[in-house]
Amino acid sequence: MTSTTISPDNTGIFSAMGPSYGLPWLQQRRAEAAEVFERIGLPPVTHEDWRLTNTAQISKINFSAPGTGTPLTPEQLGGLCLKKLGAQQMVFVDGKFSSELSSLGGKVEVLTIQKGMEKLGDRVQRFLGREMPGQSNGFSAMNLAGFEDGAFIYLPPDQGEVGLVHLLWITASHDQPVVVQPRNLLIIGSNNHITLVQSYASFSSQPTLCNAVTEMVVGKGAKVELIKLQRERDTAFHIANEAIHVHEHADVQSLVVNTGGHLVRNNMTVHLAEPFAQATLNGLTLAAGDQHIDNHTMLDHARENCPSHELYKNLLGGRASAVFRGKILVRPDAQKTDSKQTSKTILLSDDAVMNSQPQLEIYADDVKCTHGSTTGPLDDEQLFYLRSRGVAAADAGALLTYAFARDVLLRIWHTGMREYLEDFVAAELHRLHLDQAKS
Amino acid sequence: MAFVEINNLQAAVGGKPILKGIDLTINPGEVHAIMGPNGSGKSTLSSVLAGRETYTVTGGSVLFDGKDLLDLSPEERACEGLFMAFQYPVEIPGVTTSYFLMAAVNAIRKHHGQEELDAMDFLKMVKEKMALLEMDKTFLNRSVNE
Amino acid sequence: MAVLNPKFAILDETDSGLDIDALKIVANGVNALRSPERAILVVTHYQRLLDYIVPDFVHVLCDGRIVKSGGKELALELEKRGYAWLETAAA
Repeated sequence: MTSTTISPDNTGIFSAMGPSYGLPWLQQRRAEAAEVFERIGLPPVTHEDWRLTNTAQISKINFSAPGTGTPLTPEQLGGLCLKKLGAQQMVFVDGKFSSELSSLGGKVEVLTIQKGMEKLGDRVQRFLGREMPGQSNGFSAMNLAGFEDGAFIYLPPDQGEVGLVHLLWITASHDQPVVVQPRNLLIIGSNNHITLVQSYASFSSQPTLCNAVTEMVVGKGAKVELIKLQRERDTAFHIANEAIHVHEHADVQSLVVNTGGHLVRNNMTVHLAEPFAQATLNGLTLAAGDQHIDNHTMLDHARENCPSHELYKNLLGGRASAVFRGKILVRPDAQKTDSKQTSKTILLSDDAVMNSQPQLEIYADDVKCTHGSTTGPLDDEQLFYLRSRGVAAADAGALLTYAFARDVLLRIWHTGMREYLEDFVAAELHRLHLDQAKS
Repeated sequence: MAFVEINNLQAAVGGKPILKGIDLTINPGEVHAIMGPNGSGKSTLSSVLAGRETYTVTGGSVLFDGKDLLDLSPEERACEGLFMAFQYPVEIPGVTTSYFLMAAVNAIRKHHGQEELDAMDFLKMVKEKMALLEMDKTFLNRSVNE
Repeated sequence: MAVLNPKFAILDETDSGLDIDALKIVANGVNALRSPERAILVVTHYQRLLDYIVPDFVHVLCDGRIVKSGGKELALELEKRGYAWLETAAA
């Protein structure tokens, strides 16, 4: 067994090329990516990076492109909508921009990639596929070849604090399996301060595949918080390749929250490309049932004096499994690197499985890199402590899991998003405990 | 009737007997001190009274305000008015003390059929009691026992 | 702990490394808790704590049994003579 078998139907849909809008350079990039996909296909489990996440299930499903369905109403967005937090919101349904559901007015010019090609074609040409090229893996190739549309932000330098932008991707209900390929290109000019939220949701009881790519460039001195909320249904396959390029004195903090999906893989790559760039990568996964959530991070320290900090936490119940692999690469020029990586997991059931692997590659001598990983059930001493104060055993468990999750959420810079996610996670934990009580 | 009545209490850990028959009576208003060399069973005694499950009670009884204490779960003991101070602080990152104390106080009030406190009443009550213990109010914003 | 308004408080300070200041804070807390409705049990290895919390009764535990009970003067005697004389008595 060396590679996955791809059914003839899927070969078609997975390597299909998206629109080129009459742009020869785009046509060429798409063709090259399609060629890469034809050659390498979906990553096989024999590939070291995909050993613990088997994508063979994806190729066995007969996915097709979503047709034009019934449009969603604003009411159907419910809690997905972040307008009450003052967000500029761009909504895509089944991969297509919905102007009815979006509200784009605000300090940031939020465009679709399609619109971006018309208005700022040279910039899209310059950045599209630069941070996350098609060659990276089968999924990034598939996305570059076939993505239909996405969000494009080009924020000029020195705008200061510009607020919150929400990119919401929804896969609607369908009676057959569908694939959607979001692509976001976010160029944040120097000295800007912005909060970017990506939400992914699905309404379909049929399998869905969301194959997303997000590329971001953070200019000199900019401060960017990137929050991703993956809350699709348990019928969803979700693959995301994200890459962030950080310039000098810029500060980027990412949080990836996973509560949904049947099989989820997040690849997060951060290039600390210039001195005094800093990155914080946080993650929170709540999984139960048969969910499998895989987070791979790669922190590439290219230059000196860059701090990085990682905290990934998992709460796993049922037969859920999760993976955290954190790679830290310290290149020869990256002296005075200060990097700390922590992975913590609470297993709420005997059948839940965690696989945590740090991977340090250090080629400079004056660096400080630490990593630590813990996995285990709820702490007996903490449980007893709470019970000895009168809190019932079940409530004590709930309180401890909430505290465990909240520890990550308290780090969120944006107050409104912090409160929103505290509420969201509390509700999801309730679901997790109910699920636990049933089994 | 005595308030706390310990009769011939015996307990073991991992099959090894530690407490070999303790008799002790404590009345309201009294302060009793238990002393003894290391390994004499002092910590076991307080753990058994608080309901720690690592110890097995192998004999005897404990009556607390007329109730069979050994029949109650740790949380029920707390709700009945038993309080055990911990030797080592238990750290719970993410739970601020005030949040935790509110959960604890409300659990106990609920047990007694009293109305649960809202955040404002709670803060007022805590501030009064804290003054009693001369504790620094900044303590309230720290994580539990941090 | 006062927040929880206990009827029966157990303080186990068996081998915590409390310094004098911390000891005083704990003792002040306990003394403030003293009330005609409340029973208090202090478990300690050090006689020192009892300088600040004056107990009504002192019990000496040896090998799982209470081998001697007395008033606060028993604590003073333990400080002078140690436990050895009682351990022999228990055996």
